[in-house]
Amino acid sequence: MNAVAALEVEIPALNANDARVQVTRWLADEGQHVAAGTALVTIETSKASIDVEAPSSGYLQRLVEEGAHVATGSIVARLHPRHEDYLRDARTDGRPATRPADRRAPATRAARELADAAGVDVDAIAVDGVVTRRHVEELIARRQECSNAMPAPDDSDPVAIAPRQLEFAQALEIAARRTVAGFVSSSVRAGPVVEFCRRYGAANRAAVVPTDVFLRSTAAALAAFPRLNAWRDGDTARIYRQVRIGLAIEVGGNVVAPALASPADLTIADIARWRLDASLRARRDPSLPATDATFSLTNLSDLGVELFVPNLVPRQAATLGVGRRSADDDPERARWVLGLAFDHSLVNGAEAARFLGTLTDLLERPSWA
Amino acid sequence: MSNAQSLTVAARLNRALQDLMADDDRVVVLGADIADPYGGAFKVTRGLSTAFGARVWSTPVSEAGMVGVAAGMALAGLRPIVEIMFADFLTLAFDGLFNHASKYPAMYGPGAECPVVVRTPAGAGRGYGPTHSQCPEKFFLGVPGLAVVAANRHLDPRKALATQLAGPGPTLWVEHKALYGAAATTTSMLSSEGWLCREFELGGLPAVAQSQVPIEDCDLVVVAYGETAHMLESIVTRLAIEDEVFCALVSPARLNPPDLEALWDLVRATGRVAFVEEGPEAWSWGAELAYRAGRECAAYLRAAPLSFASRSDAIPCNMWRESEVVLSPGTVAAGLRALARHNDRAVIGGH
Repeated sequence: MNAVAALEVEIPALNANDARVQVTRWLADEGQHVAAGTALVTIETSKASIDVEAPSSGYLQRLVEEGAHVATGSIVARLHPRHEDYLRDARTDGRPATRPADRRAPATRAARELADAAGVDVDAIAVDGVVTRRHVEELIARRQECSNAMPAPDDSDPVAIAPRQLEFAQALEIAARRTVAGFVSSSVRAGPVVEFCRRYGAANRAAVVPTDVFLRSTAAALAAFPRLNAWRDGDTARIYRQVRIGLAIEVGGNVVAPALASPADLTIADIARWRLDASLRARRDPSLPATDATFSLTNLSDLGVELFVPNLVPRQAATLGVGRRSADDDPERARWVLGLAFDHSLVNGAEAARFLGTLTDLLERPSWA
Repeated sequence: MSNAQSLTVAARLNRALQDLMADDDRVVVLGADIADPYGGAFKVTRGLSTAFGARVWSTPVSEAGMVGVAAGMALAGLRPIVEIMFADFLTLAFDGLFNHASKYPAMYGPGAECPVVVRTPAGAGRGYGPTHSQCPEKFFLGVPGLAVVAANRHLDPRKALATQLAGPGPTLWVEHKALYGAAATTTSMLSSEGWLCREFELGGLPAVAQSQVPIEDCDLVVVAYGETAHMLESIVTRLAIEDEVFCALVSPARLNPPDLEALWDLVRATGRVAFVEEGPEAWSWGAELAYRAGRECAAYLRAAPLSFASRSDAIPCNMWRESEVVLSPGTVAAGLRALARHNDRAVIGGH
């Protein structure tokens, strides 16, 4: 996201005699949004006190303390047009990120974005002047050449990788690099959900499966835990206004994840219909556009998987994986195993555990219409 | 000069004057209110009267008088440096420079050298109003026999002043007021800040080209002097980091007579050039150089040379209204960004 330049507030040279003035009193609070013309700070010269006014509107970032003596012409504050830039700058102590004397190697924004996406360390590139996007492209090309140049061992045969899978893996890699994931797990008696599906299906003449109940219950639980239905934008958490759960569906070697909007507002029968429809669509056209889901659900219980750690998806705070532990000697003892991976910058372990607890309760007592 | 580490431009000028006066008994300094304890309106001459006594003249408030006297002193063999308190007041000394000091060597031949240096603070940004904020050097650029030099952050004033005091004619030496408090620098300090620097000479005085990528890879050359060059440093940096528009910033000290061969080499290498100044637009330094660039580099230019300047209006006192008239960094940044993308002429010449 581009930073919009902040306006720097300078101490004016009020007369030819004073090289330094004293900052006596701030008249606006740190982080306060001020309008142009608002008095910001009182300064005192050898002759008089005057108020320095805001040259534009913006969020105030104060750079000096009351009582400080500063040289005329020095910058005592910044006015940020956008709050997110104020938050970012305030955290870095006001050092402007584009100053060449910064500790990091000077690199253009385009170079950093490409390096980030490709997993290249831009600070490791040594050039005269600034690192540009072209330098990063050249490094990537050189690395590609190196790996291409190595002869492949002749004990294996090539097979195409579905392009969506590679793309998705790349997106997951970026997400993994940028987030620290936590993982919590719990188990639920499988019986109640299985029994519910049977009864509900019969009563409503609908082919309802546990996945439909998982979608509905997860959405209901997310309503009580909005921070798990969120994403991280730099230093800010952004809570999605809608719940859209992406359901992982495997179609001919491809995994697609169509998103179901607001499952909590739908009946189980509606959800089942959507699921069937989404599977058919995916089968007909595996090149569906990337999902805009806010949360992800993968159910591998049918495949005999007991427990797995799902991957975090970019722009999602958490993702749920469902497995099943069967007990052949006593069907009543079969259990769903829920595994929740979550972004530790947005959600902590306790909150994740409480979410799972709520979800567990809902699945033990399914009563959806 | 390692001493430039913590010096302001004003302090470096002060030290240069001290050194010049100590090295050469012929150097004298004149001006209004320049003697101690006041030491000049911007403190550039502080300490000189204490150290050099009668060689420092605190004159009455008559610019015509002080420049006239200085011209006579120069004819008599002294090396006078005159301070005009605000460049806006140069007009009162115009005749002395235009019809006299600059023409003596041509009119009267050897023995009539007149190497007066007229130093003066110029420029806006302090809210000092219409008659204390101008950059009037452009009105002197066309005077035959009058050298015009602009101080900047990296110029070593001692060497440059010594060069100008060698004559044969007078020099108008402008110093932008906003530079006085700025940190003096050198190309090695600029390099340690991340700039790629190339030093060369334009008209016998140092010029520096600074850029974020090698000059041959730059999209355009932007030429500015004095404080405008300092202002452009942050614009050029931001354009490089945010937009990958790479400019080679050239800051000459010599404005007149224009000797620009080395500059045209850089313009031919990049194919685009812009001139930026704080003086009022039209009939300006940039307008003249844009014409010359078009003439010298025609086959290599990818776009018409551009000139950026202030609006041609009286400069208001009110700080916000002043910024509406005076050269706007935002306009310059947008203009340079647009210029960098301009490719409307086939490049016939090559290298």
